[in-house]
Amino acid sequence: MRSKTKTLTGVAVVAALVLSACSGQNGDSDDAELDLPDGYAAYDDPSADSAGGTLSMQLDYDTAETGGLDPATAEIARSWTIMGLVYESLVSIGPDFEIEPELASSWEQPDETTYVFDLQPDATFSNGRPVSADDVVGSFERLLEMAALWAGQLGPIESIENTSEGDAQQVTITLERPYTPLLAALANTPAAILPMEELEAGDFDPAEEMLGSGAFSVADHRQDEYWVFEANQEWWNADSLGVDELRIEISGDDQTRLAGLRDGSSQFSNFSNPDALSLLESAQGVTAASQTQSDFFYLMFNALGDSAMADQETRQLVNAAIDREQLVDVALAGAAVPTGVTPANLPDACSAETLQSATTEVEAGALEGMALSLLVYNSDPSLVAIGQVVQQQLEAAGATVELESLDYGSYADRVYTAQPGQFDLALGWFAGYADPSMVTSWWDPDTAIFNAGFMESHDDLNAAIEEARGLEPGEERAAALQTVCELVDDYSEMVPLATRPQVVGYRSDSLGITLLSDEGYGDFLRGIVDFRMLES
Amino acid sequence: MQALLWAGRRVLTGLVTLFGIAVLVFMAARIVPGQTADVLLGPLATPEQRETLTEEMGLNEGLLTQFSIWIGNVLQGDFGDSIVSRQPVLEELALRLPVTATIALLALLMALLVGIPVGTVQALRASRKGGAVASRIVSGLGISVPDFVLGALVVLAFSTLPLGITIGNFTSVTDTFWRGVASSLLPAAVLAVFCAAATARTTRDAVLGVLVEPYIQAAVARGERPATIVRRHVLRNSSIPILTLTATLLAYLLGGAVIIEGLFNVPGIGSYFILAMDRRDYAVIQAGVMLAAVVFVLMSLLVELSSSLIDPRVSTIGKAS
Repeated sequence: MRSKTKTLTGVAVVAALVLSACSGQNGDSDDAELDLPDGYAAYDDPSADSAGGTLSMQLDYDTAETGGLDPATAEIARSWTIMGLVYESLVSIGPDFEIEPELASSWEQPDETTYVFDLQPDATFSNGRPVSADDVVGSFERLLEMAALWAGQLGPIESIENTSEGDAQQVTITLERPYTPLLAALANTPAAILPMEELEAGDFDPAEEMLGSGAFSVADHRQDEYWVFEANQEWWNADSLGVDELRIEISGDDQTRLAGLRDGSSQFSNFSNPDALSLLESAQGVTAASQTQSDFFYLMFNALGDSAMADQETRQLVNAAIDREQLVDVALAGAAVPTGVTPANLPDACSAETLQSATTEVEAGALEGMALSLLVYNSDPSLVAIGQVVQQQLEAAGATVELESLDYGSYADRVYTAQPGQFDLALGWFAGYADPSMVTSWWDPDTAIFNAGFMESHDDLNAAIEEARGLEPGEERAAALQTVCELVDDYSEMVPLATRPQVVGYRSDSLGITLLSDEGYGDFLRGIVDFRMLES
Repeated sequence: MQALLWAGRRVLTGLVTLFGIAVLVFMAARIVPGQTADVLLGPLATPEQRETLTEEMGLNEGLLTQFSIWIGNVLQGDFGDSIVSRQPVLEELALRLPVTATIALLALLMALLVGIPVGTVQALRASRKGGAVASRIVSGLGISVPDFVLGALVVLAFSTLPLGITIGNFTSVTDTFWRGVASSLLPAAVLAVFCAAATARTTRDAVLGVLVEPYIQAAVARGERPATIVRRHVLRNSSIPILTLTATLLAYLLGGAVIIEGLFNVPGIGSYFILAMDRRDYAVIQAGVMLAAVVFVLMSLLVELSSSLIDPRVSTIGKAS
């Protein structure tokens, strides 16, 4: 019997009771939930008629990239979501992380290292020029030349060639060695296809404007205030679009977005705070849905420098003293699941329950006399909540934990920039992506760099990561990923805690939405082409 | 002549204050832990990306060089570009300042319209026990209820009940004037509560101080009507502390009420600066602090000048002492 912290049990019970009333969709959605197809958290028949018109939504924050509006250099999930309204990638992600056609109507893999993509014959940029294979080749070459973050996720690309014959546009990607996550990596917005002819002619600056082949084009934008998108009449599937205009208001306050849904001035909003599920429950005409992200929270240990966390056994003890189940119930309103390095909702993910940290008993007082600092940044309410739970769990095991809630700049300075890091423990979260081996890269400090100030590079772990990336989905890869998870848990330098939930609320009396139950790139608007305005 | 010299000295003091603030804010922005590259590029950026951004922003130069470039540009009216929006900071401010100014002026107008009469009545009826206690409780509540509590209640009420005004879709007066004014009413009303309570309290204290002056007794002895005494003698002679408070409140309101802007999703300058602080967007931070400093210095100057007009002794006290 594990003697994990019990101090929060009462709170957990209350949270569980609250949650039992509001998990999944809320309100009068129990019946609707029964009708949901597999892989969806909300579903609206895309073939049904739409009243059309303007969809008003409020999101919690805007894009903020040093590369401006250039998708190739976009690094945060919100940029991927917003830019993804305008740009298309070769492929997209469907239910259960299945790879689906987007700009590529089909593809085949003649051997382990070759991928051949046939482009949509009607694909057209919003300026009316058809998308060509040269645009695809040029976009990828540009991405690789820019050494942008996402270039690393595309893997060991040997060549990208225009292999078109006649009018049919075709592109062939050849890899140096097998790399399973390629398709998942191609599905994210940084791998979007740009109008290279205009870009090379100097008529289009991707940092300043957006010109894509996707469902929408930008009509107006004021940074941190609003976006206005218009339906792109040139989009190859424009007839199916249920929204004529999309107005996105940026509203950082949860209460304000909730008020917008209540009074109908907004028809769709997102909430990163899982408590929003219960708040939305009481709003008439509003339906809430929770999307399981592959994004996950993790705990960093300062394994370098003078920190008490330099000792591996101590780190393992602290790691084992954290009860992930309780953390999920108390801090994340039960809307998440404990995870290993491979996000729990992805295929072939390792089992967090079997890891040493989950099975080791930590006796009360095991951390007696240990004084630790725990850093979080205050712009993410969930991080602060998780920090409080971790603090109480470690204190129940005897440690003294000072929780420091900092602005992101101060946090980054002490955790990522300082060499060695100036902290004992710190909390953060990663995008989990759409293939279980993609995020494992960040456990190699030689690749990730940001964690070189607090964790070491381990040959065995790096080799295990590399091996798993080359294996086809299936049992063999699952076993290789389990090894990665176990090594990460053993070193206990940066350990996953739980997935990061995303809640959306929408006016179900005026809007029908389609939302995947699982998402890898934080894109809760992935299904927007299937949104439908209802007759009022 | 003496008054002119006094005014000139005040203007000079204001300019020196502004230069001191310029130095302080420039240094402070760079001392704060966490650089723009850390914040905007995120943890996964490569050292090359950080280096490129640092060079683009001119942060690889020495502090003195950076400061001289910046202050030189500021003197020519160029506050630089925001690293996030890539727009000139001055243009961004020009879009947001009317929003904040509308709310500030509306809030101040409401505060003065309510605060001065209430404070005056409180003072005139100070001798009545029950009335004094009740008015103190009301003004005490107005001052002590945090604006985020009041704001949250207003947001809840107006989004739940059909009261004719919705919370979302804020409109700026520069887009549609009357819709902009209507959009500003709720945030201004919430801000006005504290300001009205403070104005009432200051007015009450100032009027009480004047009521015991011998010239009031003389006016009463002359048989002047109470309303005339209040208008001609009491309000005029108690106006300096009210004027000082009014200027302070206006400066405070023009600085942007961040919490209220957040609650009502107002695209004003307060939320703009807070975002810039989080992102270490130096051009915006520096422009923001300078703007706030200019507003405070100007307000302070205006109060001193107008006080000297109301009471010429103000401009001679410094000389006399």
